[in-house]
Amino acid sequence: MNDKKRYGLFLGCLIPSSQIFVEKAARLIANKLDFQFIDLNGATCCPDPEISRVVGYDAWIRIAARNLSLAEMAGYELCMICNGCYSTFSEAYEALEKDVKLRNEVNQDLALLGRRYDAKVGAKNFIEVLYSDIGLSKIEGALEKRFRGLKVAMQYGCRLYKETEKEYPKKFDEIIKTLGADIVRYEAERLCCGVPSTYADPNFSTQQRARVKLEEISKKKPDCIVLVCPACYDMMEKAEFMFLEPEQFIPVLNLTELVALCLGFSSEDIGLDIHRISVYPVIEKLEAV
Amino acid sequence: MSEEETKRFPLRRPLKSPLPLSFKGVITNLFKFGHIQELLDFWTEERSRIGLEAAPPTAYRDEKALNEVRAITKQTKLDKKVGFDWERKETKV
Repeated sequence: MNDKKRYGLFLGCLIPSSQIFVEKAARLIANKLDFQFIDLNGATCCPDPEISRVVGYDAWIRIAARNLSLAEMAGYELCMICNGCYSTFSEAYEALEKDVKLRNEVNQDLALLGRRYDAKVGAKNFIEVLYSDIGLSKIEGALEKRFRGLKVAMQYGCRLYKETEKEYPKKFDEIIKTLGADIVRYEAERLCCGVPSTYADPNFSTQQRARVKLEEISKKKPDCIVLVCPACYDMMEKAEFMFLEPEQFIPVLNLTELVALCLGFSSEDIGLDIHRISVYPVIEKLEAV
Repeated sequence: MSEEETKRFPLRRPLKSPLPLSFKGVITNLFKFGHIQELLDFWTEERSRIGLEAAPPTAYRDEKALNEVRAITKQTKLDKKVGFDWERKETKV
């Protein structure tokens, strides 16, 4: 009997279709830290918490419930490596768990697809899995390498602040510190990267959000920017190409990549060469434990 | 306008959906792929190269899952609301 902790892995859209190093790193981490990611067969877009939710709430909550039902039927907790997906599922779960009338209406429609969601399984952020389920001591014990002198600027993303009681930014910090990295604080740390406002005003989004944030980060001269949100990743990388000269570029990495590197996986294992902004200055700061 | 009225008075049908232009890509992709971003051949090759399955077992390769998303958009009349043309697989803007 396999007694490994198991999670339904929810990939979302951006990660499997353009940030594949995040998916690869997450899978490597699971193998190394002795938990299991089960692919959620038949998953779809969560759907996204901005446009789809605004344009068609009824479809949004039903598609979210359908995805949650896949994990519920399989008997796994659902783990998200995308902050946007996490936001959708935590909101959808809360609504469906509290509002029985809504849940019944949704289930009437899901029944036509042969599905049902009873709000027994909710959403779990990958930060929570690492911090609470696996634990910092187990992660620390498994490290083969640690960063030395790596200055990291944190891009938490808006969604990590939505559930203040869960203290995600603090937990994110603690995981980064466990890897030996030094966090540098900067003004505008809580400023949105600009993605949601892109749909209303792209100029405002890049000039008043991404550019401002990037300028504040650049002042601190970090070795890299670390985040857990694929939308933030796209925006920060795009902003660097728009507003920085190539010699000023700051590598942007996902938390999963830093953890996988410290667990001993190589750049080739993770697929780090895919990054448009080279991450090798970060790898150079790794030292054997 | 009902479908019957649209057939009888084709020039009276709404020409534009209420969907803002900047929303078009995301919504159209949701209908077309069941995901808001297409999985391009370049990325399936890159996925294989780094040891992942060419496509994950989601609507990217699971037609049943894609059809279930489409069924939900029809049940909730999202397709009508955004003016999605099922034949052309495009959203009117």
